[in-house]
Amino acid sequence: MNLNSAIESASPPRNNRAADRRQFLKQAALAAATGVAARRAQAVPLPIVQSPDTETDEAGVTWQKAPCRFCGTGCHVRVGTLDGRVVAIQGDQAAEVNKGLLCVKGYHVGAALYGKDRLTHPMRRQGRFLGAYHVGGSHRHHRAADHGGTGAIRHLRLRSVDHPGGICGPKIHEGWLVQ
Amino acid sequence: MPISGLVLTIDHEQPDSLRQVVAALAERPEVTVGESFGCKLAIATDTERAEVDRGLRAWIEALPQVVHVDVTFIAFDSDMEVAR
Repeated sequence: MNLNSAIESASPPRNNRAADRRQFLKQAALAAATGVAARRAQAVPLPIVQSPDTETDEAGVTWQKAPCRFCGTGCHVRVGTLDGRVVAIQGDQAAEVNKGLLCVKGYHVGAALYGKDRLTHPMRRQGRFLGAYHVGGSHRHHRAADHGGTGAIRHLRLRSVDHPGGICGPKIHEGWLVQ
Repeated sequence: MPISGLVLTIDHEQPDSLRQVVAALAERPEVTVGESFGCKLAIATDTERAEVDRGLRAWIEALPQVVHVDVTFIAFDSDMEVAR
């Protein structure tokens, strides 16, 4: 039975072509199911392969495993480096959580390292804007302690400002950004 | 008065399983059988009450040749005209 004949069989008799709502919904239900069935039939399951922790391909790119840094899902990322720079990103096909796929943020996890506006050292706010004032580690801890050690500041004190991705809350009197 | 669109996954390892499923469904007047694509079979069901709809789906899932049932469409309109 093809799609046309299936829809025809779900249609009202030809002497009553004013399809009522029920018949319309029945045809819509069959059309939806047919579309999904056709799509699913063409689906190819993703291959699950074991990926070694480190390997170098024929182009000289060294692939290593890493977690994606952008959200809490925990996607596994394969990072390709060449001459000390990240040149490629892949989802890890052996990972249960993402099965080789990444979202658009994950695919840019390598490019984000080289953004021209990326903070490369802690900065202290000067007036309304962040200044390029490089703050040393001991000074950071000292100033954080001055602000009472609550909330984000406590996190800053306990977890170390050198932790990748750590962000000090913007509501404090003197904001600190750490990347 | 639910109307559902379902996709049945047929156990392709059993011989003649698709024909057996279609034959079983043909005995239920609430079921309209659509097109099949490999091991996938599209159907629509039209029942009078939600309990009957659930029972029909459970009956389909219990068919030995059916390994999975996906619900792709459902309408629960309470004011739906009964055109029977």
